[in-house]
Amino acid sequence: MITRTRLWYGFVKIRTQQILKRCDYVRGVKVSNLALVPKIAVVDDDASLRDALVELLEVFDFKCQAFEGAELFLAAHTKNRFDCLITDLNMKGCSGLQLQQKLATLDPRLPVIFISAQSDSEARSKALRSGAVAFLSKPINDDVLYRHIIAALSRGMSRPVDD
Amino acid sequence: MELADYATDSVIRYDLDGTIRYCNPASETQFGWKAAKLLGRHFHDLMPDRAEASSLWKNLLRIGRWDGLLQRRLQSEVEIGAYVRLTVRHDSRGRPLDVVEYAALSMNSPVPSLPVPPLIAERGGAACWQFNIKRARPLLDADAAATGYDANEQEWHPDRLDTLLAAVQIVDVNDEAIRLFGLPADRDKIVDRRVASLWPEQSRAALGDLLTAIAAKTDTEPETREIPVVDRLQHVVLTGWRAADPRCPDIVFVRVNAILNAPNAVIELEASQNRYRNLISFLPVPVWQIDARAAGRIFDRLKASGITDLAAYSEEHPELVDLTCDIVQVFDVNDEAMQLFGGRQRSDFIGPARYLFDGTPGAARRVMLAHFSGVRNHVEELKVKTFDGRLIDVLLLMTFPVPGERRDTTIVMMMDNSARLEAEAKLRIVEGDFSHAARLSTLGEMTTSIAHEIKQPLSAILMNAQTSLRYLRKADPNLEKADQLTSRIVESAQRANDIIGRIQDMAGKRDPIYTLLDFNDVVHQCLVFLRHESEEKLVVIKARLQPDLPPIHGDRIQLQQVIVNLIVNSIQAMNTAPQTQREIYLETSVDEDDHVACSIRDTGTGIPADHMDQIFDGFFTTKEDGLGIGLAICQSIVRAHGGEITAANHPEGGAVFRFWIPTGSTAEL
Ligand SMILES: Nc1ncnc2c1ncn2[C@@H]1O[C@H](COP(=O)(O)OP(=O)(O)O)[C@@H](O)[C@H]1O
Ligand SMILES: [Mg+2]
Repeated sequence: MITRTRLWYGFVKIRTQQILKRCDYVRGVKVSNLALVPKIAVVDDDASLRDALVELLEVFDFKCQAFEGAELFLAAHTKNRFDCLITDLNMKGCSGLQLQQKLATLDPRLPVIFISAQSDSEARSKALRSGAVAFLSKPINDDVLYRHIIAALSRGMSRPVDD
Repeated sequence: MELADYATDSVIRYDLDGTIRYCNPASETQFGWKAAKLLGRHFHDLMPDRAEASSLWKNLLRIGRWDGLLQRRLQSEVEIGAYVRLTVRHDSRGRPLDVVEYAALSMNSPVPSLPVPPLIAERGGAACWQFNIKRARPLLDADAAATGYDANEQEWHPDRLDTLLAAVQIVDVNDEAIRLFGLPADRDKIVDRRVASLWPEQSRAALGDLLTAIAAKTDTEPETREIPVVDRLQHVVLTGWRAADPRCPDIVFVRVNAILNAPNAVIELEASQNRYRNLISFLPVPVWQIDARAAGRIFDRLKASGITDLAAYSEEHPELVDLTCDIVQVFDVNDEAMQLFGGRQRSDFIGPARYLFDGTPGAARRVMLAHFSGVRNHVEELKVKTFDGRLIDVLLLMTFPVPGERRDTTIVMMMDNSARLEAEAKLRIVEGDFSHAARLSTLGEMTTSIAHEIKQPLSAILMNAQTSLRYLRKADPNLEKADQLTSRIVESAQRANDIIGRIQDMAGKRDPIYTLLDFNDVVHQCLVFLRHESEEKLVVIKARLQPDLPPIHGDRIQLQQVIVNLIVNSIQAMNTAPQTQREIYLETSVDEDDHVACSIRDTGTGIPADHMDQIFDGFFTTKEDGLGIGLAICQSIVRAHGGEITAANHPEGGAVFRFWIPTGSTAEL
């Protein structure tokens, strides 16, 4: 597992640098020290999980911002501000699926990863049909999450740039 | 008298002094005295104890008859037992003439040791009582000293008379007395009792006078008192004297001569006696017969002096409770009562009623207040101390006589409650199982929510662990981060543990634990528990909790179960409602009776009118996979907390469930 992790870690560095390069950012500078590295939004109403996710993303050297609910995220959201969204499925108020619906018009290119405490197959297929990158069940394996983030970023990379 | 010469029983004739004037040949053979030696001897020469003999002789002359088993002394100084009947013969003008004795040797003679013969005849002759006034001595002497005794002018203070007669002990009565006074037929139930409980009302003062006069005398000469009417008796003459035996100065005999005022009276008396006796001996429950007249008299006097609030009065005079405990006397019990108390002898049960109430503080006082208030029945749950030292739970049922009934009989019954309490305990276990099942069914309905609840902290733990591993495995391990993450792991693990504990509480069997609770807290925890379930079903719960509710006394888990059950029902009732209208309004408040109230209203289907009566019944359900015990359990929990739960439909649609719980401030603080 360690070797695989290292592999993925190496891979993401390369990919990130590629992204950075594409976005005309300075080459060779440590990613995490940069202000404008890929930024991941985390939406989860459970504080402990949200914090844990933030920590994990940090150790992956991503930049991230966490939100307690979909509404707060939507308020802070602007097009292209985030490169990936990781959202909980079940939340008070606006659920993950509802958020996805809203983003379909607001920011259709934003890749979305769902995390959920349940393997609700209906919600899962609905999410994936609506274009989610992944639908992960809690508890979440760090390697799996990492792989999906990379996949999401690469997909986001290929999304059409609109003006 | 010659005929007696041929009799096989000993026949002896004494003159009134007790000197033997005649004996038949059978006397010689039976008692081994030569006839010539017997003649001129005295009654007491045939008896082993001279003093006892002279007591018996005096009693015989005054009562007219004596019969029973006697110890006889033979010429050879050997003692044997004999059945002896002594009868006083009278002349045509009714004056005593002489005494005739018939005697037959006891079959099992010689009797090695015979108890002291009863000093009064069992059968025949005048009604006679034998008293022991030893305990009444201080009162009697004080009387004599204080008043310079004058029997005729003595005005009895009722309390004093009560106390005096309660101190005088009955040693024996004869059959005639039993018949005349309507005493319990079983002599056992009379002996050792206080005279206060058995002596007729109207002649109490006369008896008090008589005893006072006798106690003041130095000789054993009789004293008499006459009373015109006593109950069914007329021309009653009481004749009392001290025992002639100087060794028992406290023994007093009282003979009662009277005329029954109606021929049926005796029969009636006996019939009623038997009725009660049969009633109590055949009742399959423990029964005590109590004479509470003495207390009744005290109450009458208190009422006469304007006291209406005995509760207050007895608080100022706590000795009153004590006094009533002593003067209220048990005079009969049945076998069941003896069994319940683990007693061997009936006589242990006869006497002051105090022992009935000893196990429960305040019981005697409550019984007294009930008696005072004039109610017919008094019921209460008690602990009683049995004679073999157990403390048992009983249900006490007391029936006081009302006018028209025998005033001397208060009936006490006790039902052994331990059996009932055991049954109830069993019932509670069954109920516990039942509510356990209900909790499980609620849990079953909520498995997804539970999984969700528990997965949150577990995911956080796993994620933090993975992150800290990554920090530690770095070329330059970030220990600070690892430390921080590990503390978060501990926090989340704690949270997971709490959730599991909560589920165990819900799922596990447990006895309720009553504590003081903030009801809003209880509601709050339920909302946390239900958060996911309601979100998933797209139900919005709007809670309006009144701040600063008074604390309630209750079991947290059970109350949570009520709220959870009601909310789960509401969520289920809104399954078919359009999403925009799935709302639950939960409110807490203090109602007009100062109870903590909670209402849960939904916008679901509501309850059909014809179901209203049934929804709280066990196993009533309209759901395909419903168990129908949720509301039944809610009701039993709320009631166990002293509250009530109701259901209704809201005018704007949907159902409203309301329940209230009394506040706990008075219960325990
Ligand atoms: N909030 C509600 N709205 C409408 N009907 C209800 C509500 N709560 C209970 N009921 C009715 O009462 C019945 C009994 O409820 P309950 O005792 O909880 O058993 P169950 O939920 O297993 O059916 C339900 O089946 C339903 O018909
Ligand atoms: Mg139910």
